[in-house]
Amino acid sequence: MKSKWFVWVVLLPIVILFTVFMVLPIAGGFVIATFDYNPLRSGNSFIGLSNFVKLFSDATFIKSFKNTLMFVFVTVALNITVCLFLSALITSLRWSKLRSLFRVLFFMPCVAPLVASSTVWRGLYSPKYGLVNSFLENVLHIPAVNWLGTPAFVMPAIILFTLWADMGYNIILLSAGMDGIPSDFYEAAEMDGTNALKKFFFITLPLLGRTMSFVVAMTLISHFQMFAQFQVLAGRTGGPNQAGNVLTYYIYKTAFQAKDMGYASAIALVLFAIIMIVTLVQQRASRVDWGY
Amino acid sequence: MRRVFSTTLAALLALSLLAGCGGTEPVDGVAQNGDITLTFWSHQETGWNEAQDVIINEFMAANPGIKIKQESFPYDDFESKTQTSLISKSGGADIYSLWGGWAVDFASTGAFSPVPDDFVAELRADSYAPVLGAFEYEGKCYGVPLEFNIEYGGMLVSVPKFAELGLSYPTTWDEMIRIARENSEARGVNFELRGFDFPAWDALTYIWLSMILSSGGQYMDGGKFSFATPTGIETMQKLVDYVKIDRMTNTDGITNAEELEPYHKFFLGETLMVPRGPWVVPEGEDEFGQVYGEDFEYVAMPFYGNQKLFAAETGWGLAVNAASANQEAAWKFVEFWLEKERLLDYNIACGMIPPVKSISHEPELLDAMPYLAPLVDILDGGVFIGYFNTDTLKEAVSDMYVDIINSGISVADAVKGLDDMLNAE
Repeated sequence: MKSKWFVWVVLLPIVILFTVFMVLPIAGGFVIATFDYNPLRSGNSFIGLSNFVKLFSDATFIKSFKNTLMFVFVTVALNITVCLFLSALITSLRWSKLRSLFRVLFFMPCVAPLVASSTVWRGLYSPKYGLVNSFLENVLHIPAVNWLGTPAFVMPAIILFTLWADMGYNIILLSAGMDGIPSDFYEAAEMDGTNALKKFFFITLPLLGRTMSFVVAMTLISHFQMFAQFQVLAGRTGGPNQAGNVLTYYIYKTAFQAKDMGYASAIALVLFAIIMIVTLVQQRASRVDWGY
Repeated sequence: MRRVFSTTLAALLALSLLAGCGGTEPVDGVAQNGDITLTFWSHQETGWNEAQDVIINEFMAANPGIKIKQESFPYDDFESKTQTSLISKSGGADIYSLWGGWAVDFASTGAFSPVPDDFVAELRADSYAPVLGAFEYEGKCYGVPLEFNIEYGGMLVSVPKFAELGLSYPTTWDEMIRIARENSEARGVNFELRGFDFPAWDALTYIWLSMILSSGGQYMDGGKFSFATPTGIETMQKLVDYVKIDRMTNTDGITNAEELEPYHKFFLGETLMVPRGPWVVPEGEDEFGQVYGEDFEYVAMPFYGNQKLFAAETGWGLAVNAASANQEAAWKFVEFWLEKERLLDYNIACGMIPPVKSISHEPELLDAMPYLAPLVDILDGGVFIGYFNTDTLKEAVSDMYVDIINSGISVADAVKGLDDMLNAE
């Protein structure tokens, strides 16, 4: 009985913290979404679910919704694939200092604030003075591209930047997971004459299940919430033809520029629902029932 | 011993915290000796703040019982602090130097003190139409203008490039377009020379509005947007053709493709003509080291139609907080600032066009800023842009324009969609 009290007392601060900063804002968001709420007005009327109905006919919301899904699934898929490959390469290095060096190098972009690195990349993408076009024209001898000024190139440019900026975390996590796989499996495989590719697909990948499940879930969630690079690289109009507009940026513009907090809350709740559904599906799909 | 020490330390800490809650600031800005302290907020802009300091010091010397405490913030902080204080209707400053367009959101909420009747009568009689527009609400005025914000009527021209081409500056719209068309040179996505670089956040919208107005058209009908008129469609088609067919520039200025704005590219020598407000002239001299008259000049931009009409929004002005306990003293300070000689000095120091007719043609103004000459003659043709959030309009027009350029949508359909979207808000 005494120990139960102790557990409650220990848990109470975090329960209060979670309730005040997580549960109440979500509940508050739902309440605001049912109002035509503008903080500048003295009276705000209750409109039920009208804000949610409006979403279906809002072309900007539909475009942002599609852009968000495209960005998340393409970036996360590329991120996981590239990080797995790089982590395997780093783990295969025999010299531990070299392994540490590469981990630090890949992690460095994660230390820089996203806004600052986005601003630097905006300069790199400049059509006339940017290093990217300079490389295309002078090294590869192909015509320059208007990266952030052409609808078809805006999202690829943002995806490329996000990969560079965000791979470090996953490389650390995946290579740590790979380090944790007992060497017995590899030794047994080597005795059977298995090549490196087979070892990766039949030993490393299956035994990395728990780490992968965590990495994929966290990467999905964080990518749905990304904002800074869209604000900097797509700009205040969301890029040409809204090609770089995503839900987080649309929420920001609706709430703080148009001051339509009710509608912004409705969009935020949709984003919340999407993240929850995708995470639940992903967790169910990658459930791991074993250990070693 | 340890417990006594800890208790004493805790008590001292608590006392120091409580002491921090008090203060020597006068309650409601009134000190025990009856002196009034007014707080004045503005954004950080060295030249402007220095000119404000001069006025504040003069006022305090003339009114010993009133002190002005100036606080200036970086622009973004200033905007959010001002808006937060006006929304909450508590705290904040007694007097704000704010962007007139913000008044559209706040005048209706009772956040501003109305301009005293005798002062407003004098102001209305002397002011140009656009400068009071956003401050007006239901017959009352909730702020006073410090400038005539003009984004149409003048353009930067490159002196060496015109000389190299053996051309004189255009005096008609057709001539301007012909020069731009014949001398623009593109290489892939980049330009060697942009003839007339007009797609920019402000310039695109203001040029289109002036094209409509100067042709005798209207873009508002009974408080609703009505761009989908023959004039609205024809003029937008022209603007689209200048980029799609004539290739005199591209849409980089409104798509975030570059960090550089069109007038930055002009000062880097990439452009022949670029329309912009006169405030870019000092920036060209100070930031880019350009010499006025040698590297560039600011000349009159021709009108598209027969009438010299253009739209303008309410620029920087002063407003008094309705929550201020010392509104009378605050208005006294504002009236002091708006005295003609003082306002003229302030306008010259800040590179602004005066908002009132009585000083806009003063020789002193043109002596200090000769590049304003093409603008002061057209100020009477300024039409208040309309009582709405102008950023919403500019964003919608920019989006529509880029959409027309990049997709197959017709101008007529796009303009109709613009009306529907703006009128639905």
